[in-house]
Amino acid sequence: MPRPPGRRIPARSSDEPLAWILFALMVLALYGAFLFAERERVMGDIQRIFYVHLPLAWVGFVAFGHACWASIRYLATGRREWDVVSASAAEVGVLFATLVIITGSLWARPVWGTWWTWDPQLTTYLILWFIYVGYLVLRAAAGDDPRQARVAAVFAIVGFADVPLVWLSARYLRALSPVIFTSHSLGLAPSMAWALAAGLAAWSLFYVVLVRVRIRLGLVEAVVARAADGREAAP
Amino acid sequence: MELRSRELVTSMGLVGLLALVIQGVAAAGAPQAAEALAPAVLWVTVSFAATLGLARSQALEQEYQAGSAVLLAPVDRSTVYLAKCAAHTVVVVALQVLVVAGASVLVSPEIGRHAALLAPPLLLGAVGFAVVGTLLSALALTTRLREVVLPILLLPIVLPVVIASGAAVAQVLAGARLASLGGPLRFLVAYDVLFLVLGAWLYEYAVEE
Amino acid sequence: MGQDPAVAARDVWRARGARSVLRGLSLTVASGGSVAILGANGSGKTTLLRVLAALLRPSRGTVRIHGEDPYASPAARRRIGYVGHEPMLYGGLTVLENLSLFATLYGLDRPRHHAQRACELVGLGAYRRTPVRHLSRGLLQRAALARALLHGPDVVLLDEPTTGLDADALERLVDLLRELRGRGATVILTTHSPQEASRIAEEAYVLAGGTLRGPQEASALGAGAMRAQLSDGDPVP
Repeated sequence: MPRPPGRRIPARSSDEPLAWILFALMVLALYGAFLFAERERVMGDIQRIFYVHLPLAWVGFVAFGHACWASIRYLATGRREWDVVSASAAEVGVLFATLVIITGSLWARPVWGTWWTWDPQLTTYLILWFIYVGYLVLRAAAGDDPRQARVAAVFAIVGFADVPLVWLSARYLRALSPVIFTSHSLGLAPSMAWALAAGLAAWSLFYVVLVRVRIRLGLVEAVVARAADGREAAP
Repeated sequence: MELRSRELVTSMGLVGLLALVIQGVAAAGAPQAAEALAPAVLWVTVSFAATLGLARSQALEQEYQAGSAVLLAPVDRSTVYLAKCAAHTVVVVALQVLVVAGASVLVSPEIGRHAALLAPPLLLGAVGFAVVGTLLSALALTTRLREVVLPILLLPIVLPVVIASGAAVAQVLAGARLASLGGPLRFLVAYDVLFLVLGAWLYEYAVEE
Repeated sequence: MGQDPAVAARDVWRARGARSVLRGLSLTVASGGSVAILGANGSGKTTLLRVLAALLRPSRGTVRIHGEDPYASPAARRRIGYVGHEPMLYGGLTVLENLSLFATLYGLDRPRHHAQRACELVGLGAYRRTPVRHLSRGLLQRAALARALLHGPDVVLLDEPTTGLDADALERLVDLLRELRGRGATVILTTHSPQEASRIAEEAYVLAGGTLRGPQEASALGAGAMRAQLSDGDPVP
């Protein structure tokens, strides 16, 4: 995971090779998802969304973990850079989370006939999305004020602790539809497993690239703000 | 710490509780809900009213900046947090009592009959609500958006409590006995403990200027 | 420990929002001293006092009250009394209830007794059962003072205590502070009036550009000299 570099800002040039690798991986992943993997018996072609949906879900969750970790570091050290990392991770993460919900919904409709099911995964993701939004709202209201930034950081930590609890508690919900969706129940043929792996790699790298760009932008903003304050100022 | 709780409740008592009661009675009276929806009704009412109450409590702290005076005192921030949690728990429990009573009358007498067994899930739920709410209301009211933002922050975090407690309530109303409530109750205890510890640790950062 | 100055701030930096308002500020006040800090609006007087009172943490530098860090040590906080711009009381409780609450927080036994005495000290005896919300501004300030002095602090920090006070109240405040100093307390107040500074304090500093200039004999403060120093290098609010 990218670390805030202190006073240095990561050079744009180091992102170039990454972007190329990403491009290649993405092509691979999409090929794997749509052409290479065998057709799933029960659900048909629509199941291919799964190869995007699951990696997105994984990254979306990890992104928030990233934000939570950065928040902890921010509270511990007070260094602005960590706050930037946290906000960047959250901004990219919410994007992923939104896509997860959309792809999940798109998948649910043809398969189970409803746009939404209250199963643990989707429910947890919806809540995660709300927590993301809550964090971003707090962060946006914070602007340059370190006190508000700290408020947002605290919320990120609380939010992240909450997500597994939401998932656990969702078991107690009586599902509207009797079919409980679990990804493990899908028997994965080898071609499917490869497609999934490619998807995971590609989307993870996608996240990394996006976050690095976002962090770089954020760090530049922070440096400008610090300069405006006039040297030797508090970090 | 106990004295502190009592003082807080006194202060919140008239103003806070009144607001909660009005909300509680009004909301319970409105929907002609069947017994099956009772847990939802209970918790929705409690959630919204309690959120308002928490926001109000925090606003009182900020009215004349009394909160700062507490920070000045030679008391640990964590102790302040725990005292506030205790006070808020008491208030939420009082609210629940009222809501249960009101729901017994307005929704279904079954609720009243099971009151004793309803106590554990509701109590644990109240603790969870208070523990998270105390921390988050301190956060929310430092922002420019003030009380408005508290529900957005609080409700997603508190959802596991509502779900687990609601499930237990539903089981009780369907005739289950205490022993079979083990799952949700254990979950609630775990939740309460986790966020109590987390809150005690984070409160200092939430309140620091 | 008896050698430690009452108040020692070293190289303190603190921002308000995004701007640094205290820049490498240092201040030492010996026990029993009385210091006035002058500065224009926005110069950071309130921030400085709040840092000393442990309401704010300096982003850099140290603060020591009688040798201990008030932010970390409850014992050090116990010796501080702070009166800020806000009264810092609970509106819904009466004066006596407020003071009893804070007496409990400060670990005083027989809190009501101390609360009563603090009331009388500031002349609020008649109002002790009045909810704080119903007090006029002048009385509110007195109540805040009571709260600050309740636990017998030996470091008293006052943020512009003279604003809004009529001549009578001002006299009372001056007497009160003199009495405190007689008991060995250290007093630091902020103000933007050199005249008041010379009445209440012995030494004066000027807060400008994030640091202190001084000390000077407070009695030697002339309005003209003050103005020159105050307008020099102040950050734009």
